[in-house]
Amino acid sequence: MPRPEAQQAAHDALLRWVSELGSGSWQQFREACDHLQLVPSVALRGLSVLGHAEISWRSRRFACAPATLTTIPLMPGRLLLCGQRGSDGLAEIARVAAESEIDVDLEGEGSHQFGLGPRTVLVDAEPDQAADFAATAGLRFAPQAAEAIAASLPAVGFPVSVEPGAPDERFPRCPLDPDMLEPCWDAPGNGSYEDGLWSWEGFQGRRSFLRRDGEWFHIPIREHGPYLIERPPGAPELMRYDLANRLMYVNAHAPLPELHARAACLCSGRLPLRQHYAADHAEDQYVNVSPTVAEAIATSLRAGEP
Amino acid sequence: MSAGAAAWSEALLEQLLPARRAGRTVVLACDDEALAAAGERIGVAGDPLDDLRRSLAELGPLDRQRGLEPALAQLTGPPADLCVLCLCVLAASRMSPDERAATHAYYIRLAQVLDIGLREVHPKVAGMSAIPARFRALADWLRGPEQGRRGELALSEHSHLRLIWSPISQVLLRRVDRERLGRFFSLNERSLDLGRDPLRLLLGSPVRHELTGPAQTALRRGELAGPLRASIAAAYAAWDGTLLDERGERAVPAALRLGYSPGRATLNLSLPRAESEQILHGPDGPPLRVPPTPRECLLPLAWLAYARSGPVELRPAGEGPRVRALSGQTLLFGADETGFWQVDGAGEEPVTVLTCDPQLTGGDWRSRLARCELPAGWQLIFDVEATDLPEELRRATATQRELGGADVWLCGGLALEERTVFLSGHPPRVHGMLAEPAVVELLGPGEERRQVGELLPGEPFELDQLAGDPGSYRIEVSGSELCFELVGRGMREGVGRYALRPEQPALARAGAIDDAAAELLAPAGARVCGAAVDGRGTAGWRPPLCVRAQATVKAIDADGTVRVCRPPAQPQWARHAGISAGGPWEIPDGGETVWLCVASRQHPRVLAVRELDVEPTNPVLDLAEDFAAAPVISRGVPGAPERWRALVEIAFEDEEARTGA
Repeated sequence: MPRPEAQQAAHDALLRWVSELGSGSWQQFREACDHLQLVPSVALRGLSVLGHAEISWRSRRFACAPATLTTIPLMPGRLLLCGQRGSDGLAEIARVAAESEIDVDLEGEGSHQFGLGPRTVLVDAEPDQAADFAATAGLRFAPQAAEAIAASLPAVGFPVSVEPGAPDERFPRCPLDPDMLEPCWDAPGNGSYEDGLWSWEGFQGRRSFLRRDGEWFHIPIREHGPYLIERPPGAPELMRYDLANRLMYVNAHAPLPELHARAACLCSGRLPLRQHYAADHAEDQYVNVSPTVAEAIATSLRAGEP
Repeated sequence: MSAGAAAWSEALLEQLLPARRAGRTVVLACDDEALAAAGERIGVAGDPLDDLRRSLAELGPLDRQRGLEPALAQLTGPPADLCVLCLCVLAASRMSPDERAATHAYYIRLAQVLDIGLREVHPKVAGMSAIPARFRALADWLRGPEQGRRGELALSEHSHLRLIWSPISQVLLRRVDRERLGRFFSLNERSLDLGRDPLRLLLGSPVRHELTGPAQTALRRGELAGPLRASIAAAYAAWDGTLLDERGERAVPAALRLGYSPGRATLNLSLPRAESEQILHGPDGPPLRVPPTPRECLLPLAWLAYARSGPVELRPAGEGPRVRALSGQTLLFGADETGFWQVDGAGEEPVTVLTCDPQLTGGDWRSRLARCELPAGWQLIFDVEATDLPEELRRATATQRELGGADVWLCGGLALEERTVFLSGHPPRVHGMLAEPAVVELLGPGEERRQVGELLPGEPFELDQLAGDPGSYRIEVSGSELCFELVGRGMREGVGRYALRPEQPALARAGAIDDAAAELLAPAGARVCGAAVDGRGTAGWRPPLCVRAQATVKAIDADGTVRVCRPPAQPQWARHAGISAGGPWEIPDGGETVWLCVASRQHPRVLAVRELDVEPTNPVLDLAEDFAAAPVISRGVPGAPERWRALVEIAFEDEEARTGA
């Protein structure tokens, strides 16, 4: 099987496994990814931003989200299926659709994600019958999920994004270049710490810290980091929105926090596609992002600008 | 009037040894349930055993002196004598576990089945001398004339029990075994309901040690896997939900949860199978109100003192089954998503042990020993590995059994339960540290044995060939046996457990947490779990007005406006993703739209979407004229065709008036 197809099958299998397991540990998830030859952190982010699963990093466990139908902006007759999608999930929905008096169609086995995440599954239905169909099929119906999530996004910044906490001096660390947002392992140092964003190689993965006015702050959601620092003039912008084409571009070195990314992804059911412009510059392109959602995301992220 | 021996033999043959079992090992597992099922086949209305006895009596006297001899004289071989052999097996299925007097016990049961007395001389029931030969003849008949299509009868020899071993060995699970399986059923109810392999589960349960010797022997015989599986499944189907204790009395299973915070341990009891709260009396103190699961009641820790000398049971004031609250000197607790629950044995995961067993309390547990107030002699020990416990408290772990030993083992696959159950399509691989290639033999759900390849030193052996077939598998390689199960459905426990609460600053940076943890912070605002958002968002949503027709649509609003709407082009991203074109599309600002005129060349039609009167403006009347002959489809608008016709009539009247003028 060619690599993208194999990757696609692996992501679909991972969602099926997560759905059948219900919940499990991060260790189990890593073993499953190992079997499927997927990168665990990437696979998990894909499941999360598409609304299929949630992970509790505090308990290092994940849980599948309930199967939910939501609407997609500008595609009123097409409902996006998120969450639990077990072995018999699609077949069961197709069966209910066939037996129901409600005019509903399941769009085949779904649309590929170019091997980046589980397939996009759409259900064709009249919007005014969607709630009835969801109830019949045992699904949750959550119209305008993208807008609802966008409206609940927190203002990234102090105190939401940080908690007091000094890093562990025993582990290696380096500052992040505020321009390109890349770790500077070769940064000159005199043993002291500059204000700014720092990356720490910890026992359980990389952690981000912010040093401001000589004080350390831990950034639990690492993706908030780039939005908390002052960046030099001319630095590549972190995000921009193309209203005409409803596209949101996000600097690949500053990926959207998961909940923000979920709001953007649920506008289409699609994971962002990466556009490479140069060796060290790429952007993630989110499609069909409505102006409301784009505005809410931008407002949330810009709240933290110093 | 009885059904007759011939009818009984035929019915029992189809019930116990049906066709389509070629290549499988089978047993003549006749018990009361099988006899009743066979009786139903031939329309026996009353007691099936009584009918069968009368059927045999019609062939000759069935009494103490002559026993089975007259019937055997008339029924000279298989399959005619099957009804006699089945009665012999039925007696064995009713035996007690007293192995020291197996012969005596068997003849007592057989005499009860035949409703005759026992003779003074050996054999105690006349005709038994011929029974071993009759079983051999049955095996030959299945192999010969039946060409093995009903399977291969499992026969074995016993050095002492020469006459009675043939029928006894056909019984895989005696009545007492089935009763003792109650505890196994209670602990594995969910898995069994999901269709997990009962044999695999039993092999992994400490309850297997409590079965009778013959049943334990059968569990070790690989060729009996199929019949055993069927026997356990049948016993589960017939299980009444109660447990049998050491004294042979019945009890209702209870769920016991251990609570612990530094300095304090609690025991929390509930009734998983009860529908309402029960008032039960313990060994002392006031009665306890025990609720159905998930509610719980606190069990007095002082009762542990009673558990030192055996199980502690709760009894209802009047009639009714008892509830076993504490099982004895040692209680094991395993962690799951909802707490520390009592388990039957320690498996791969460490367990928490609450014990007064000197063997365990004398151990060097150091920091694993909890500091809390317990009755004298009791200890609470955390993180205890199975290897630290006596054999009877261990489950046969995957490491010991399914995953193999030091030389050959399973790894990989998408594991669903304790690395013994895998998602179909994603089986594990076989790995080995062998000096030379070894043949890999596979015994699948159909019990067909086949060689599937060679395990090469240092290389994994993929089991992709059985990827899509759910069932129970046994792999044999280089003397090691590896068992696992492929299933299509998992436990699906904990779906929706974690959610994000972005509007609460303290929780926004915590990531997803469970509801119990969130409650401590009294969260407000939205709760986001996947795509579902509670507490925000959906209240204001109204379904937009849509049409499926991929044609120009003219929308008539209540104020007499006519708007031309065209289906939007498929967005680039949707094309790129391979999402099919078409599908319903939105009529913008459809809140006041009353009629939709679909300008399809082939099927022009009018859709009635609202029960409202329309201002008869010229554009509206022109459109009504154009669609005068088009069919009208109502979307829940009463009298839609009449309403449209009225509009058309106005249009024509208006047209005539204008022409006349």
